[in-house]
Amino acid sequence: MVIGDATLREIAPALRSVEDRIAREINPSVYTRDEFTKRAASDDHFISNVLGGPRIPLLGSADELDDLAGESVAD
Amino acid sequence: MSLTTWRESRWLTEHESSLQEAADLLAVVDRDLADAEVEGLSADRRLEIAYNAALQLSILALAAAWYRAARDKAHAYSIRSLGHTVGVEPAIVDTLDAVRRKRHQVNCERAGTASHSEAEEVRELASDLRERVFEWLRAEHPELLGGFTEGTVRINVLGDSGEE
Repeated sequence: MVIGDATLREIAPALRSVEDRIAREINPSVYTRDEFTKRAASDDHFISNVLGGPRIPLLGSADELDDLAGESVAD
Repeated sequence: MSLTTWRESRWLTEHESSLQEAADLLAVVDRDLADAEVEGLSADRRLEIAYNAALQLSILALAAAWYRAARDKAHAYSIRSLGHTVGVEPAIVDTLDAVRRKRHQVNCERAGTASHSEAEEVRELASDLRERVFEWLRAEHPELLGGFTEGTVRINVLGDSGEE
């Protein structure tokens, strides 16, 4: 999952070389910050699963993600 | 690897394209590009529809080159053939291939993994691809664009104004 301004056009080609290296598919989900917070607030099925499951932050932290998910609730 | 090599590997079969096939596929593309903008649809569905527009464009370009993808992994080979037919850059092909897998995921495995920003990006990609396929057809296979009657498919197909 990628949250921010990145696009599939930027991410997919970069992941392609990693997929070749590790011989495993990587299926990215790319959200803008706004869409992520809205979907988190609406108990979106997929986002809820991600937030409720084990996570490995590659950039940022799990706390940042939880804070972002709670932003729209706090607003 | 060329398309000839693909055919020898049985990833493609030979196919006789026609004006009618081109018109039919382009009608699907234009319908899907319009439907992908419909408000109120889920992001999953919008992405799936926009992807289909790109897929049909790849099938059209392949058909213009007198090929069709064999049954096994037909979508994958159709999308990947865009580099050989229209000359689409590897980065765009990789992106469309990632969308192909995502489309399978949202359709068959897990709801909600597509975002609206992704769906919009795929719609834009498909729209750009339509222009590129058209330019390529005009240059390489104009016979597949000729002969449409005015006021019907030709206006849709050529993307021109209603002046035609």
